[in-house]
Amino acid sequence: MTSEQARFVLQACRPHGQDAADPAFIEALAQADRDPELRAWLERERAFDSQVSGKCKQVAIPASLRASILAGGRVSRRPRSAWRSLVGIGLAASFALFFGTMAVSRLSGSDAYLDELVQHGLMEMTGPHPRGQPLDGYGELGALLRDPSQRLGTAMPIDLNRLREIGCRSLQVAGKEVFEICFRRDSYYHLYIARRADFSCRECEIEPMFRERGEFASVSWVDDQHVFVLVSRAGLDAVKKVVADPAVLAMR
Amino acid sequence: MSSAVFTQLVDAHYEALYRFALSLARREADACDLVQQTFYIWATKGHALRDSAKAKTWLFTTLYREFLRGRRRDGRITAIEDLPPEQQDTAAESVDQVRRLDGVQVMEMLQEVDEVFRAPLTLFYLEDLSYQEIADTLEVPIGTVMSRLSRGKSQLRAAITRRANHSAQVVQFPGMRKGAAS
Repeated sequence: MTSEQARFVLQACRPHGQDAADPAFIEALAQADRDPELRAWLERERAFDSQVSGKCKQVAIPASLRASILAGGRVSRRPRSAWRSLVGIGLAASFALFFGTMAVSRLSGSDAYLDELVQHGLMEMTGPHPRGQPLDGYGELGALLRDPSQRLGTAMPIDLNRLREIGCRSLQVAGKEVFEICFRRDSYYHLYIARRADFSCRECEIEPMFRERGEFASVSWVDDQHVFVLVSRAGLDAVKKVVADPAVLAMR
Repeated sequence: MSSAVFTQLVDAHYEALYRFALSLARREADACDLVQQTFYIWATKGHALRDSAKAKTWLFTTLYREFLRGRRRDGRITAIEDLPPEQQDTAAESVDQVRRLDGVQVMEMLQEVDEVFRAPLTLFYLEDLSYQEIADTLEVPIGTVMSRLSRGKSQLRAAITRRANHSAQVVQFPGMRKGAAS
């Protein structure tokens, strides 16, 4: 083995002696013991490697990264067969920020379950998602959701039993049944519908509430029978274009 | 996989994966995306890995594959055949030059290394992986790993020397902040 060959091999040798017994390095290391010039080079090489290694490990980790990964993991650990495709979860960071903002921006009258419902809806927006029922199957409600001239509000033709019968996707949020209908106008939306009876009286008093963080936006409102949450990744303006004026949403 | 096990896995590896991703992708946001995507794939497919001891290698391999996939999509992958050979000597000054840099600056220098050499080099420096483990992670032959480490180190030294020379030419006026001149 020439000195050049030994140098080539020893560049792959870790600097803290972990590879001293590795057969691939034994001959080159023995040669370095015999050759002062090669030994001096190896010492410089190890010092250089130790410095670079130590410095690289000083690089700070973004504070929100861990929370984002765990949020994404929660989404993806649902039954695999239910999902039709993989969608990137790079949005999870924004998502965590959205939740953080929500935590400090709750208004009086709002409640934890409603917040959880909104969060759940947003989680669904960021992860892989099952193909929903075609809107045709929803009859009058489907036509309403599809029609861009119609605004969603407090007098929608909703029959939860009918939704169940036609196989509308339902979720359990805090142990309560919530139906999900996905639809597209100029943007993509998820509408969540829960029974108003599942909410406490205080929650039923809430005013329509819009929330936004980055591209995530939502609005929640209630009518006599139901609680609604509409979520989108197209921003608050897109959400506002789909629902009735807040003053109308507040009428019940 | 339970939530607790997943959390343990994240806690054990996400920092190292992030640094690896940062060296590859160069931008913090892209690095975060790569790490999240890697754990996402783990959460959806990782249960198929029978040997949990190989989880770390699996994660690094997956992240690297995702990075390459993105690069291929962008059409910016580097062909190794096009890269010139580099000299292999380590000058004593290189060690002192590194000593004067902070972690972010060294990472910036590492990011100047050609991508094909950067991946094994990062695993070598950040993860203390052996050449065999690097070969397993990147799915390349051992000889290729040795060659890439050698070339990568040469490029890294060259980048550090360039920076040191450039810094030596810049005369700072008293009170002027770094990067304020323009």
